[in-house]
Amino acid sequence: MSKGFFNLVLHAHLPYVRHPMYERFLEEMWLFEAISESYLPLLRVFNRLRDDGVKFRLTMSFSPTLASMLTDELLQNRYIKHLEMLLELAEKELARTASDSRFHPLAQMYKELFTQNMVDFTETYRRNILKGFRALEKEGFIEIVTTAATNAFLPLYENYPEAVEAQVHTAIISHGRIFGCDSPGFWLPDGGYYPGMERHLRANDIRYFYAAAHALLAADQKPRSGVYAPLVCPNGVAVFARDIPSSRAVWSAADGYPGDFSYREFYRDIGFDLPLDYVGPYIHEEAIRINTGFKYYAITGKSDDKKPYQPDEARRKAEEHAENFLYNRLKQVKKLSTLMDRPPIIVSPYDAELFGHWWFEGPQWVEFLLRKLDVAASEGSLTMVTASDYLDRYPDNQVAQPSFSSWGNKGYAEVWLDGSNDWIYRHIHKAIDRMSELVKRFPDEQGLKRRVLNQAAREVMLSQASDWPFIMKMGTTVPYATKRVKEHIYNFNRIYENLSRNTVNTEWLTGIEKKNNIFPDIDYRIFAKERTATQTDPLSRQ
Amino acid sequence: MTKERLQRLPLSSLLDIAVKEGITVPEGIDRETLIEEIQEALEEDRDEREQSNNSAMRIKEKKYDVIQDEELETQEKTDYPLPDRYNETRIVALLRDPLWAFAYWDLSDSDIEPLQSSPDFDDLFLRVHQAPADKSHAGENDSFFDIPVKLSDSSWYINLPNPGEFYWIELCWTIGGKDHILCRSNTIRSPLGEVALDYIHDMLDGADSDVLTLAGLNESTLTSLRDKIPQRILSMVNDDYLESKG
Repeated sequence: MSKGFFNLVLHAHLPYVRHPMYERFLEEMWLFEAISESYLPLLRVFNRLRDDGVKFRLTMSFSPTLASMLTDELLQNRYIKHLEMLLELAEKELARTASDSRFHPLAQMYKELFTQNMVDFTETYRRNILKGFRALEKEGFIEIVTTAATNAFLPLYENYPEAVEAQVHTAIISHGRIFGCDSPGFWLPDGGYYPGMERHLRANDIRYFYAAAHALLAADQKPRSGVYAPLVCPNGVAVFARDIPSSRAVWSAADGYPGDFSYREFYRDIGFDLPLDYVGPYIHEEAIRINTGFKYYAITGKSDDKKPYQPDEARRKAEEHAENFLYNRLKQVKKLSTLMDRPPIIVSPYDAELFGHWWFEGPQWVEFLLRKLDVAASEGSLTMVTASDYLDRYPDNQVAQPSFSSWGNKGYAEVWLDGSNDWIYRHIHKAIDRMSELVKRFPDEQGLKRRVLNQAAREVMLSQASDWPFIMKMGTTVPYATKRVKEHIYNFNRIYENLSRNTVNTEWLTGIEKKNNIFPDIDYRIFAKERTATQTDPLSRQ
Repeated sequence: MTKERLQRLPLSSLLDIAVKEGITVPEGIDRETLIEEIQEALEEDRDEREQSNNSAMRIKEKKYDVIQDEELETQEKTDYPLPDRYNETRIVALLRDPLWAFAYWDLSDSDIEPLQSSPDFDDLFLRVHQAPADKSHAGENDSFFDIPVKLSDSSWYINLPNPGEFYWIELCWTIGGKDHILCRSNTIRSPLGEVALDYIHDMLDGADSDVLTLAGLNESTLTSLRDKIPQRILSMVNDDYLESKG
């Protein structure tokens, strides 16, 4: 029996961004960067490990919006065009740096990286990289779980159980369609949990979910094992919580691994460093400088004085950090096993995009870590498991009601409910109310009216993406996030008013269907109030 | 926003950005100095945002970091007008954290007109009710406090006096010295925000406390176990037990 268990969770998510009316759209770069720098490199790592006979087991979650984009033909074609552009730039970079021994090897490295990405994307996976992850799941290396349909921050919809049910149910259906199987678990967007939401998970056959540490630590019963064993909600759904020490090792800006001076500097990109007349064709239109992915400097230190990046040194550091991470986990397990009546499980969830996109060496670190964990497992000191594996081994766990929590700033809803973004909720909540009203008025429509109602349901859900209030709070692409919320609410309101007048502008409807085409099998009746458990006044439950 | 981009903007746009960043623009300031001040202010904003974000949020932000520091106007130019209000009387409460809630409300035209036209109209206010978690029903020993608001207000952040209690909010008005309720919100329950007490185990088994500390309890947003538990335990434990433990 292993002395301890380790559940690495990589959560992959991006909001639904698809603008067919434009040849190029800035925010579609989020997807292209993530594919190039995170998802494809991670797939290569996992396949290498598999081919080398390394036994590993981890959890990945894919949001339905991301999964939908990865299987969308328009975006797949655009990604290929994006890669072609990068390969063209790579040739120019090779020529530009030909006589510079510091940067020429790096230009070569990027050319090889983007060439490999093109081969993997077009030939290995025939444009659908999710096939790669699903194959790994079938072979027993990964457990893939889902999350809320449009990544809504669910606590802010507690008063709208039909909306929460729609988010969960739609996610399950989408997961089934894209991956061809059920999702045993559920990733809570940003760890956003409120007491009672597990009834939606239970109703959709979810066995477990992941939450922030204090969901368990502040549960209504003191968790005897801290976060080192799951709790079970009173309705039987298990909850696993994040381990803070292992998160800090990777996430901390002050002393986390990604900040090491040997690693690649994210903010020194030729899109910003080189003259406009050179990088112009490869950045955003109107000469707005953006990241290209060609970065030649190491973090070096805290000043702006940066030295050329040394990949070999960075790789050595990645191995050292993987060793350090494992060492600390083994120390944790050793200490915890004296305090617990069963081997502890350490749950370490991270955004998948951290690895490769923000932390360039992240995928290398993951590879080193998984190889070392394979050795540790053979020695019986620490074994990689998924949450399902753990529950199969230990089906009996402490029952308690977790606490309202998230892993946003200060642990609750502050990020998504703030002076910069609170204005959105009166509109979204109103749209939800109206959607439920439409379901009541039109309980079983077919044909054109069904199309209209289904699109209304899509627009409501797209407005709920937690990315929009997050971006408003963070102050990055605020105009875009604002426009997105307004667009979806406007579209919904227009549909609502048209239905009230019994008119439909089919040309307009077809236009928004083509653009916001997520969830092709959506059924507007998921917003029926009767589907959900009766919302009672919590006071009267006492 | 890069210096280059700022240099390409017309003076009017630079002045708009300066106003937005709270920069005082003296008469006759030269363009280069203005650009430097804007860059400094944007850098400060960025540092402030970084400081206020925890690690998870800082990492998450990088996903959307394509253009570095710029509130770029989106390519999508279509306008999507939304109504300012929905002409209905309602109030909704949202829980933000153990000590803060957010309420938004609306008043229908048919409810606003009498308020505006009545000479006896005194006041519009929020009445925040609270009930402890161990009480069964509203009305039994609940307490409340009032927050005056204006007719032009439509939302408010409310400081909740005690975590772990139920709250609901009424939008009320006073006319001729008498209070009237316009609408009532949903009920919210603020979390305790700390580790549940389990007296027996705290007294008998220090292992639980060690596990919680190893889980990062002291680094989480929860109150330190060490700060709270000893006093609570001591207040509940009888003298005989303390003596037997030495």
